[in-house]
Amino acid sequence: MMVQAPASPAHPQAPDFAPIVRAWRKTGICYVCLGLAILLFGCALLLFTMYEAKPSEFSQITKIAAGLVTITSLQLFNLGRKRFERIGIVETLRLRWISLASSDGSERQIAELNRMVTKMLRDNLARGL
Amino acid sequence: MQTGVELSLQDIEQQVARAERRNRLITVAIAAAVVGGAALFLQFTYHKLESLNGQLQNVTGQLEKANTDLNASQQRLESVNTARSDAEDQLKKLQAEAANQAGQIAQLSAQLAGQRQQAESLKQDLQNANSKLDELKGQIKSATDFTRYGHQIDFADAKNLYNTSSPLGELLSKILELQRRNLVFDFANRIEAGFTSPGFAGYVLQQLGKLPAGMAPDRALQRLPAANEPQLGDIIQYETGFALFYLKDRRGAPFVIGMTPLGIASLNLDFKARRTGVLRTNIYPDQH
Repeated sequence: MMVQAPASPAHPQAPDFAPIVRAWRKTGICYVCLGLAILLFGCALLLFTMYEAKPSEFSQITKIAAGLVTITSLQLFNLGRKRFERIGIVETLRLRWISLASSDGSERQIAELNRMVTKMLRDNLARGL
Repeated sequence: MQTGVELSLQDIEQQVARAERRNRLITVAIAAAVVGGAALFLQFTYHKLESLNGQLQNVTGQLEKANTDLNASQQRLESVNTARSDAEDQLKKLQAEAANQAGQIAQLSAQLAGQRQQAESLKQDLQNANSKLDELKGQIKSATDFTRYGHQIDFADAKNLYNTSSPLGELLSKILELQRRNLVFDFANRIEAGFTSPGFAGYVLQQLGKLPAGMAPDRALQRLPAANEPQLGDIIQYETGFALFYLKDRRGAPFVIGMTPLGIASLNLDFKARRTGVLRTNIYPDQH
């Protein structure tokens, strides 16, 4: 897979990843919000069990369930963190691209950068998450 | 994803957007499933615990009821045990009392046997007394009968007997002296109370030194030897129990003298009584 950037013989233009970045940001925000909601739900359950007037067997079960829910929220935070990390990498590559193009870098360096971007996008699509 | 052909950035953007949408949907679905599953699990657990709690309360109620019943049973058992121990104590007391009463019954039985024996003895004594009474009645009857056989004698006859034999005179004098003292008939055989007929004869012979003193006069009389025919001074025994001295008055008429139920009396030799024996006194051994 090759990324086909709009070419200009003198100054090749850096590829625009804004739609991809928007999609990743949207997904990241969605994951973080969902994680926050689940975390709040787990914390609510924990508070409910901690301040229950009459502790019982149900309180113990509820604590376990709250723990599982909280762990699930951590996984969502992790997924959101990866999205924002990818956004950072893409921005860095784009800045590099612009830097190489402006400093009349060699074709070989641009091709290498192009290959890295392609690899990252391919891996991202391959993992699915 | 197209491989082996060159993809435009627009294609990549579309694929990434599609993949992200799918990822979001899957993640939301998984999160919802986890949260919903947790909620369902909690609800199920809650209902299950409620049900178990209800059963537990039911069982606890039954257990409390069983405990209450058990406590009541234990109290009843304790009361029964207390009553049993009381009954055992009472039984022991009753057994001890029964044993005591059995001992008393045995003692009373022994006393009763003794009293029966005593009663038998008393009955025998009564029979003996009755027989003696009959004998005395017979003697009294005989006495009433023999008053007409009285033989008058006095000290002159004694003086005459002195002439014959001083021991015979002393014998009659002693008898007349005792007659003058109004000696009465009595079974005591003592001088201050009175004598029976054999007792009087024995006493007179003891006074004259012919029988040993210091023993009952009627028993002492049994030491005398028996004889077939009487001599002067001998004792003639009659069926009425009389033991009378055989003597003769100054006219030479024989008579007998001694204690009778009417007192000391002298009678004709042939007064109405059958002789049963003669006792040899040896006061007048030189007659023959």
